[in-house]
Amino acid sequence: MRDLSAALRNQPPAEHAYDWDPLHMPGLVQSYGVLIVADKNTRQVHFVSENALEVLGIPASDIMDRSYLALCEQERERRAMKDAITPDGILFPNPMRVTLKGRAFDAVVHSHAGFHFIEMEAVAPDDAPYADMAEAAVEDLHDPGSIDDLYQRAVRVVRRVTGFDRVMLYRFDARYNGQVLAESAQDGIGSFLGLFFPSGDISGRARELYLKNFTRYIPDIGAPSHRMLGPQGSAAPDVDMTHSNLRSVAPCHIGYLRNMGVKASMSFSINVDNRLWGLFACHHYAPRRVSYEQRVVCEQTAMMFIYKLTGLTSVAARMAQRSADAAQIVRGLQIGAALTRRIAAMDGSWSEPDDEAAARPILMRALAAIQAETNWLLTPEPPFRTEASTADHIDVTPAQRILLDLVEADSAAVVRHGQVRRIGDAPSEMAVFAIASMFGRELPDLQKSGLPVFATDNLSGMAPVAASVKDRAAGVLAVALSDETPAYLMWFRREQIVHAAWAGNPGDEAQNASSSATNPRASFAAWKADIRDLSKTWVLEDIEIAFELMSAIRAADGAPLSKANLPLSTTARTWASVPTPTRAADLRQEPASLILASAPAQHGRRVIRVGQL
Amino acid sequence: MSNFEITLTASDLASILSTKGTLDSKVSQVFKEKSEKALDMKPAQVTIDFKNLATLDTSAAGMLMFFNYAAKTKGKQINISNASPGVLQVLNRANLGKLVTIR
Repeated sequence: MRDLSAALRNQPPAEHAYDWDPLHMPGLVQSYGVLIVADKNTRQVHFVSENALEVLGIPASDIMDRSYLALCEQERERRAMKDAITPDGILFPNPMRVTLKGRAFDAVVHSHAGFHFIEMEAVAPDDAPYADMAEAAVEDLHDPGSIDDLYQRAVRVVRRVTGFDRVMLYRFDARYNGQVLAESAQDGIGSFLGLFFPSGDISGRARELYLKNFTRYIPDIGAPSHRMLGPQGSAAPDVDMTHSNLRSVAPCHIGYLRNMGVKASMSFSINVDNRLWGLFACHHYAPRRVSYEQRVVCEQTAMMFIYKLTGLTSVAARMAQRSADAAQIVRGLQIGAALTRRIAAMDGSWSEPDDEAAARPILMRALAAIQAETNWLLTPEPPFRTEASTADHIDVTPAQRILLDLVEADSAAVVRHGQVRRIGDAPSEMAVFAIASMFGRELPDLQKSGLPVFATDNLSGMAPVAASVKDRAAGVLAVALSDETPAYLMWFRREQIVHAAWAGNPGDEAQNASSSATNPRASFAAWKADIRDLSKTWVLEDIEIAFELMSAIRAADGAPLSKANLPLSTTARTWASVPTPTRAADLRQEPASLILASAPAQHGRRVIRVGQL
Repeated sequence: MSNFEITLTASDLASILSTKGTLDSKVSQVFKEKSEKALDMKPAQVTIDFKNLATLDTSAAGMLMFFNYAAKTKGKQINISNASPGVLQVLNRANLGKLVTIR
């Protein structure tokens, strides 16, 4: 299937001046470990953090330019490291144990940009065995009874493994505002459960980093940072620490955590379909050390969580069901077209054998039944403007319900041949015409742009006058049913008002986190402000399903049998009964409503003012 | 829409799950059904052959952890073989080598 992601035009996340600060290249590391960066082939150290003496007891100058293997005092460990870290190595048995001056260190290795990054941190004596922690996590997560149960189990596991005072499951909306969905916390420290945090709390770069590096660990926000050193002890600000655990923390984030009273912080990303779905966010009110293996168990907990989440929310199952539903409509269209062709062929050859002629009424009845289900997608059968079409709400048929459920829409409308068919409580006929008239103006031109599908969850943001119908159409997903004439199938979603309690005022820029490098947000007092004007966000799968259905409708429409001239009853009209429209024919027969629907302003035709919505 | 394929074969020594395409949340049910059959077979070793696997995502890594857990409860051992560099990167990032043998 072609890439349809460009058709998604949901309201984007708010932008902030600091969004793309180079957080991945701070030139500094945190103080709990030493970062050594060495050539993959020669093992020669090119960069090392200046806290080597403090942490390892070895001056940085003694490490620089030598092979990192020279650090190993024990031959067994040196050999193990040599065997494990090869130039083409990808899989590393992290952590590797290294003894320096009688003290045990964990060496954690990754490969990036032609270098091996070796991060050394002291082994805490009371570290729990990895296997025990991992097995307990799997046992806890393997059979959640519900999605809420999964949330609760996951935060409990992360808190048990890390010992942090508070562990929150934090989920992002489409615009990266976050909400705390679940929490496991020490008694007496209050609760953040249910609170929203504005998108500005986590910059665009930080979100990007979370997709590549699943853990952000800050054991002591009060500890100093240390420079990376390069040749001759010069500062090395350009080392790319995208995948490094030791990457230092931006001063603004330190200030943000400090303002919350947090002394240690840790986050594990939850990435679904290469998008940051949420985080496990951990806060501790004193500095707290967590071993590499504890962090690994938390990362793996996040991965198991993702697997269970996608299973329980059943995106795949839902998509499979939606595809099956779409196939049902498509099948109806295809069978209808095939039957019509068959009847047409029989109609022109009455000399066919008796049994075949006898089949004709059967085929006709089958066709009528199928058309009752799907014909409304193709043909503006009179009476098209029924009394019901102006009613506030129109009951939907089972097939129309399927059509709505395909993309989880609240209502829909078909606009073609200057007429409109509303399905469910779609906006009024005039409003639907007006929305259709926006294509090629406020909204993308679905006929000429080469992309016949489009969706936004913020219709009034793209066309402000549409605000008057946001109770029924805050969001729209539309496909063009023809390249020749203005014909659209549009699905609508209602405004989804979220009554949000924010941790601080999200609209107060002066208080917003990271509003500048030195002014982090200071207030986290609950602030109530609704999220308005938006529908539930459309996703790529919605677009793909809509595109698939559009293709089927076009195919069925394009098998029109216009020469068939079938003698059909009014109760069994077919696609054949509606000539395939041509531009010339449309122009000749164009009713006023078609002008409204096509409405290219440059043609000087009367265009309904969308303010009349 | 999925390009994932999985086949199950068996020798005296191991059940072999051969995969092709992209292993992600959309196809996890397909993998689960086949892998459960592999655990019901006689060999104590289950090899997941990633030779033709283009990529896998983090949900698939989570699924492999549960699969490994299910295998252990049935006294079976999981091995992963023939992973491409791209797939190995994901396996390394997930630290799956701590749970299963990766060849």
